[in-house]
Amino acid sequence: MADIFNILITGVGGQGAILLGQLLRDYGLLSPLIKNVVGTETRGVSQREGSVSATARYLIDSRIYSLDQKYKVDELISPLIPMNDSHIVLGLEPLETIRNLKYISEQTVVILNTHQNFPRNVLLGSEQEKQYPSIAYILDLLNQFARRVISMDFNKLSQSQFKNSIYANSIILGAGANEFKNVFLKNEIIQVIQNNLKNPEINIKAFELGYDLVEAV
Amino acid sequence: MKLSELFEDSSGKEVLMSGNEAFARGIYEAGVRFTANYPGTPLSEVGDYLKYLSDTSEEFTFDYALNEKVALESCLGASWSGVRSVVMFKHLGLNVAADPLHTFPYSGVNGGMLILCGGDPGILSSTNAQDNRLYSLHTKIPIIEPATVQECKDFIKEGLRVSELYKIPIYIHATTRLCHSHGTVTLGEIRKPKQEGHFNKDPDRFVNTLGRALNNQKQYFQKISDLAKNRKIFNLFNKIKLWNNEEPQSKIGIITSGVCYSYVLQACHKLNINPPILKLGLIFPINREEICHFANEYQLNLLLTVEELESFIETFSKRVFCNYCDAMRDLEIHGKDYLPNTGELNTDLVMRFFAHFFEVDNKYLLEEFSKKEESLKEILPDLPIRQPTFCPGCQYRPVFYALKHVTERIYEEKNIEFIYSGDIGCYTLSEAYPFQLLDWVICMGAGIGIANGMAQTLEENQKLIAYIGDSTFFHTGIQPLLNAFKNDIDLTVIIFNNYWTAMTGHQELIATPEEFLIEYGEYSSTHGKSIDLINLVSDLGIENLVITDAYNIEKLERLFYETLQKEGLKVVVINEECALEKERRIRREKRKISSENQKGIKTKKIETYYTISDSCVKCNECIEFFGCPAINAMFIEEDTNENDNNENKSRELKYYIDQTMCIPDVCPGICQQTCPNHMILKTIIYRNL
Repeated sequence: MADIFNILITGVGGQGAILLGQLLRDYGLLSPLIKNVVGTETRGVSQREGSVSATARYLIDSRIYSLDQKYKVDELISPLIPMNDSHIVLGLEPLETIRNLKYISEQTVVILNTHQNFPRNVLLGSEQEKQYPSIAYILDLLNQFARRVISMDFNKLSQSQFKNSIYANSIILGAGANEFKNVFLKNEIIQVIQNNLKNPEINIKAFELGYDLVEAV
Repeated sequence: MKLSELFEDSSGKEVLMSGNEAFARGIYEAGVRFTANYPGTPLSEVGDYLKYLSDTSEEFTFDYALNEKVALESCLGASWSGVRSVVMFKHLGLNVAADPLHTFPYSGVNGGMLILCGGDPGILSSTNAQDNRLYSLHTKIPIIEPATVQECKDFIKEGLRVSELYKIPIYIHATTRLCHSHGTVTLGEIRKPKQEGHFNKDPDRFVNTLGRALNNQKQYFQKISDLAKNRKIFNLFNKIKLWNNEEPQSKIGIITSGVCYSYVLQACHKLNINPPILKLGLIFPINREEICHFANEYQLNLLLTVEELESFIETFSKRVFCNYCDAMRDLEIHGKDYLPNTGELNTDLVMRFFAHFFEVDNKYLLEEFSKKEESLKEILPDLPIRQPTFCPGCQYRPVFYALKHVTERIYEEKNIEFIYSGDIGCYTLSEAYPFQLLDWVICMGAGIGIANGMAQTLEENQKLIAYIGDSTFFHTGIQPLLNAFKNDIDLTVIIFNNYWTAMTGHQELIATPEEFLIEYGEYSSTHGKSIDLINLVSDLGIENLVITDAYNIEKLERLFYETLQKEGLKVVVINEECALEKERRIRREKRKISSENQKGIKTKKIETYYTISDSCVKCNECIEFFGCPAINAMFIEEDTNENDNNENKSRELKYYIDQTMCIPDVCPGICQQTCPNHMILKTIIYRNL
């Protein structure tokens, strides 16, 4: 029998959620720990500036590593994560992360980028009466549902370290990988970064930064 | 996955791919000679992959057909000549192709032929959720439905074999969730397509006139009932899932198909139950004996059917057990009396369904669900949504901006209210904030179609404007326009000629000029002849024909003001290439130039930027009423400590142009034209390289 490890990535179209999902599924194929991998992503009209999410699900032999799950499986094919079942949520955007609270429970670790992307209809216009919730409220909600929340403005960190905010996702990935060392083998993830991303050297540095970050927190 | 890898000859290799990639790979492995498609979500990408294949291989043909009917008919023709063919489109496309669909199966096929058709139960990117499985009730076409990404590939190959065995078309049902999910697939060997077909004349079979059609119908029905009884085929597509050879705990069985099977499995895992599951791959026709056998074998007294949308499997199961299976007449069957018949299913819904019937020891899971749902109900509706909008620099934005001004002006001056008849394409987004210039959307071509009637029955101070894009125009827009022309009705038709099937991912179409495709290099090798839409419309001799570019608001307003107040049929052609695709073309060109620069050829580089002046008075015209996503605003906070819970800290809104989104190479700073205070500045930098 086996365990399922569930990864959910949430964000806004164009932030790299789809790419991160692809990267993590590729890792699933490469890693010797993982027997099978499935996943899905949102497509269509929501791609541009809309809400986007991606999933990666790993089938891990219980004899290698048990996630201490409430249930065991013998086969993994559903690309969707059931309610409450995510182990790690990579929240690239605060609002989009709480939109997916359904999947966050006491077994979930959330890595949250607190850098906000305001929907323009909130700033001005049709949804103005619906306020973008404050970061304090968002963190409060997440802490209420999740096992652990690691939050910071990863854009700012990336900007200060690499003079560009686009490495934020690699830092987030590093922070997430550190949380589940038994699932994410460092060398294999670095290999996947090398295969998939532009500027792999900086992205690997960013990943390492994120990996060591959690130790410090 | 890279396209070259997708069509790599490496049998036995295990790779990760999406459902759509697996379909394309299956078509390649199966030695299909001819394919045709009209793009539509969820299957658009399959066509794009096959287009690449046909550009790189001379043994394979792919065609972006003008509409689904033409696509299906041309695949049929290829099949009749003896080669394998696959036609693909979204579920709504089958309505367009429904005419030949109801007759050609009488004559059957020669080379294997598949109809690969999408489905969108969640209506994620469609206008309805119609359950295309019901088409088999009146066409009798066999339907197969893959459940995993691996099966997406395998069922293409098996489907073609069965199609050739019985000489009938096979329908593949592929829902959004499957097309867009990713899983591991083992690559198979590639079969070379049969190159040249030969048509053997046989009027009795192919000419469906009175006596012959009836005869052919009988033969076709016979084939379907033979197929239904074929045990080997039943076992090829269908599978009974048992749990490590454990004895089932109860006498409850489950029948399901497609992606729902994955939800069923997961629900069983979570509830720790082990019912026998019959997973149907061939969902029509149903093999009565095998279904009865399934129920007998496990001595079932209860059968649960799990399927999205209509009760298709459920109804068939009930019929089988009621009419043909004496021993099982008392079998209780449940499905749609518990599961919703709208929207997608998921594991949680299936779990709750099962919990009604199974003895489960972890019912607390479901209570947790309900509790959580209650608490989410309070939180989620208050969250602001992110509306889709036109791309940054989109050529449609100035058009709707001008149209809104003009129609409001005419309403004020003459009390004429305009009604906007929408169609399928990017311009559907005119419904959203900030324009809200759309009154209905039904299906492809219905914009001018519905306007045809309404324009003749409306009262005097209401006037109609119908939209249509170039791809939709060639799909099903020509006939309604000709009808409007014939009757010279009072209607303004706006044709958005952007040279691409933009919304589904910039597929080329008959209106795409050849020079746009040259930069693709070998990619464009299979592009056929082009038609200039303007010439076509001009030839009608419509008196009020206006042709204009898009990036000039003043000109657009003048043209609209004049045209909208005229009587009779008016056609306005907005002649401007899709900004997104044009920007990509220019970028590719620049890259080519910069690589030439590295070789020592010196050129000048001109860079243009648009910025918002610090003296901006925040009148909101650009951001609120024009609404280009590249123009944005952010809060500048005095206190930057984000963990500070102080709600009273002062926040100032600052407007800026996001340079990563702005496309100054394509859009000539149209936002400048909207700023009444001239606060949007243009900077040009010349660089000698």
